[in-house]
Amino acid sequence: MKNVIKRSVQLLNLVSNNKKISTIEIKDSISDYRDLSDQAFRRSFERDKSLLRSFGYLLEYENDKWGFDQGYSLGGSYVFNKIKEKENVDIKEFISTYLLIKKSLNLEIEELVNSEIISKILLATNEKKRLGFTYLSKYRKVKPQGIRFHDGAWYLAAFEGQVLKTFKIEYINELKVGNKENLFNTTDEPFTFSWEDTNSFLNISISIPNSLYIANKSIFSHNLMDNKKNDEFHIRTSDIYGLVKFLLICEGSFKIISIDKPDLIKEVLNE
Amino acid sequence: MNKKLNIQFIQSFIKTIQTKPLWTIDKLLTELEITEKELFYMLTIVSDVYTSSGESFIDYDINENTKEIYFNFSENVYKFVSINDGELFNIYFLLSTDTKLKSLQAENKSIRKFSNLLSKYFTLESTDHAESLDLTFDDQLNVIEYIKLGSTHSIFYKIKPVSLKSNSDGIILEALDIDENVIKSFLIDRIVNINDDFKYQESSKIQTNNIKVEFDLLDQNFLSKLGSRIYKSVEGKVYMEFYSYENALDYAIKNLLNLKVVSPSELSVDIDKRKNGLMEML
Repeated sequence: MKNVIKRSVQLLNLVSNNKKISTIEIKDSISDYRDLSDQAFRRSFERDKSLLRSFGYLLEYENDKWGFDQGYSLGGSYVFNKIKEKENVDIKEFISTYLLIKKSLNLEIEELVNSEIISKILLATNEKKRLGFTYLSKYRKVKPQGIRFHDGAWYLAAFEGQVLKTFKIEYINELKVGNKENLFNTTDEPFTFSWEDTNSFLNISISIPNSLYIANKSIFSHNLMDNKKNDEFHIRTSDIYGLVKFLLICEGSFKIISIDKPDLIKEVLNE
Repeated sequence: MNKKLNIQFIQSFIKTIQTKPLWTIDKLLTELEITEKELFYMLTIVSDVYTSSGESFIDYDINENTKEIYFNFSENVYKFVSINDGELFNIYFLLSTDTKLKSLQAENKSIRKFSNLLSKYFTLESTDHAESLDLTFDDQLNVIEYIKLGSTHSIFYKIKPVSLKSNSDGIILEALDIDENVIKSFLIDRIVNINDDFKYQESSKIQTNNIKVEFDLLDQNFLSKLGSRIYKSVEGKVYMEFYSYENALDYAIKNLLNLKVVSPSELSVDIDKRKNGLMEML
């Protein structure tokens, strides 16, 4: 373990002090790698890269066919580097404040959203670059606008063509950032969720203990239209499958007061 | 070792020490919240790293009489010190949602400045979050009312929060269960209340038993979405193990269109009963 941590420090030290560094230079500069065969070095280097990536340090090879300067560089610190370069702040004070905030939290914060994904989204949003990714088996090219937290899950808001859509971050795979900058504008308007635009809504009023609603409400996307009485909820949703899951999980603990399209639920139950 | 010694912690360690060259050992241990053994473990790691010009990355001298450490930093140290986007994002998110950090901003000008600076880089909407994550945990012990996955009943736990992280189920609080002295994971969304001590009912806890479930696979593509979940798949069947009946029930219902329970029959009968009950209600 000690050697792995030491090698990670050596790798970070090396890449943070060089704009780009070749694989050969990396092998020659780190004693643990130096005596390894090419294959063993590759394996060890890939493992170390993947460990660093899990902590948000993205060691990536830049392979721009038009560029002369190729090699590994360190990504994943877009915001910090921009603050260092462009903002008129004392960086030591910035770090001290960061440490002070971390200390004043009661909890250790590990990862609230995947570091690699957040880093790429931030880079693309701030530099107005395109993002490409596989989403539920389909390849998408989008113009990112920002991210949103909704009922326990993170979403990316992005334009696909002319339509603003929300993509659940959990389902995003093979995320890549395009090369060209300033391709679009970003908006400060609040994001509209994709399902908020649809017309196929179902209205349902149920009586359910408040605590049970709170614990399970993230199962389905919905708008809470009314909750004047403590245990009565008037819900509007187009996520029928999600609503069925919610009702099945809470079975025995709720009563349906009214529902306008029961057939939509029956269809799912009969599938 | 109490601390998780990983690259993140080494970064934190270097971020702290680089602010000044001279430290008393006691002050450094308090600042980093580590033991003397852990401090020396880290010193052996960082002092064994060299710059490309052959200079020590971090060199140090210890004065045994005064119990002080004098650090000699190479220029590389200042370039090495960085905060990655994930860490800044976590902090920014909590600055906009955590009650304690919000009040800290009102009192402390540098924290306010820090937060304003980050707001230029993060396009984040967190309004939905205000109601779902109100982290008013006490520094020490908390009694939480929690509804487990698949269950409709509250259970009370006396806990000491340890860390926050997330997985595909949502944001998770890792905390020490005081009675059982083990670290447990609680989905933040399912913590329905943070209670006073007197409401705590130890008797409400139930013993759980692992359960093995056999499913018919209804959608072949589903296997690619299982991520890190451990399973076995043979000829259209999927076998999984769950830590409790309720957990298996929750999983089976949430994946209703992809998996159909074959055994145990108790579980498939339970799901059918729930479906029929819902049909009758409509």
